[in-house]
Amino acid sequence: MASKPVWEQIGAGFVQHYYQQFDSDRTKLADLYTDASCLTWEGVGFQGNKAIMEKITSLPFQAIRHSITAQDHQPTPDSCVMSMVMGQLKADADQVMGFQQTFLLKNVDNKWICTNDMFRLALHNFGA
Amino acid sequence: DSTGKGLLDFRSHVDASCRYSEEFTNIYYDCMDKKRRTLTRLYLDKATLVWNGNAVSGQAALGEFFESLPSSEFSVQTLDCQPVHELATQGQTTLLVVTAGQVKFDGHKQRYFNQNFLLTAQASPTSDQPVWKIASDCFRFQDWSS
Repeated sequence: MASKPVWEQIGAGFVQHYYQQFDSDRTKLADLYTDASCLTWEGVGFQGNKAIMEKITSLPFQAIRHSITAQDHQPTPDSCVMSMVMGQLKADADQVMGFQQTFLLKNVDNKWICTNDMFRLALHNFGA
Repeated sequence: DSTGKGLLDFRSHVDASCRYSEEFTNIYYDCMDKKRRTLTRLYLDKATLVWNGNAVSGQAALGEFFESLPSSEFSVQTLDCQPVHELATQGQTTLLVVTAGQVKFDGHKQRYFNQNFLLTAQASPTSDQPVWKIASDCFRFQDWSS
C-alpha cells in the first residue's frame, strides 16, 4: 500500500498539532508564527507573531473544541504546503458551528511554521 | 519608528493585493458560469486542483475536468486575501485567496462551498502589468456529515 505523499503528512501533522494546541492551551501556538506571518480572522487582518498571538489569546471563550471534517493538502511550486481545513467547533456553552481555515506552511530551520492563516466561521450553516 | 512604517507598507500591500483578488474572483466565477471553455487559461500549465478530495493536474486534465462539470451558478459570499510573504515564495509575487459561498450545479441542489487559490504573478509579454495565474486550487462542498 502506497504511503501518503510527504506534503499530506506534513499538512496533516501540522493540522493535528495546531488544533490540539488550540484546544488545550492556545498560548503555545506562538511557536507556529513568525514576524512574517499573517492571520485573517473573520475578515480582519493581523501581522506578525505578537499581533496574531494577542488576537488568538484574547478570543472570548474559555473552553474550545475543534473537530475536523475534511482536510486537503497541496504542495506549492516553492516547497510550501497549502492546507484547507473544514470542521466544526464548540466554544464554551455555545452551539456547534462550522468553520473553514486555510494555512500556508513553510519549512524554516527544520520546523514547519505558518506564514499565512485565514479563518472563517460558516455562520449560515450550524452543525446538527 | 520602523515598525510603524512596516505596518503601513504591509497594509497598503494587502490593500493592493486584495483589490486585485476581487477582480480575479469575479473573472474566475464568471468564466466558471458563462465561459467554461476559457477557464483553463486562468491556470498555470502545471497547476493542480483538488476538487472534493480528488486531484486534477495540468491543463489537459483540467480542461477535461471542467468540461465534465455541469453548468454552474456561483454566488460568492466571503472573500479573504493575503499576500504571501517573500520568505515563502522566493521572490515570486503570490496571493492566497479564500472564498466561500453557494453554488448550484445543473441537476443538483444548491450547496455551500469553500475554495482557496494560490495565485502567482507572471511577467506579461505585452504589458508591464503582470498576468496572474492559478498555481494551486482547492474546492470543497461544505458538508459536516462525516
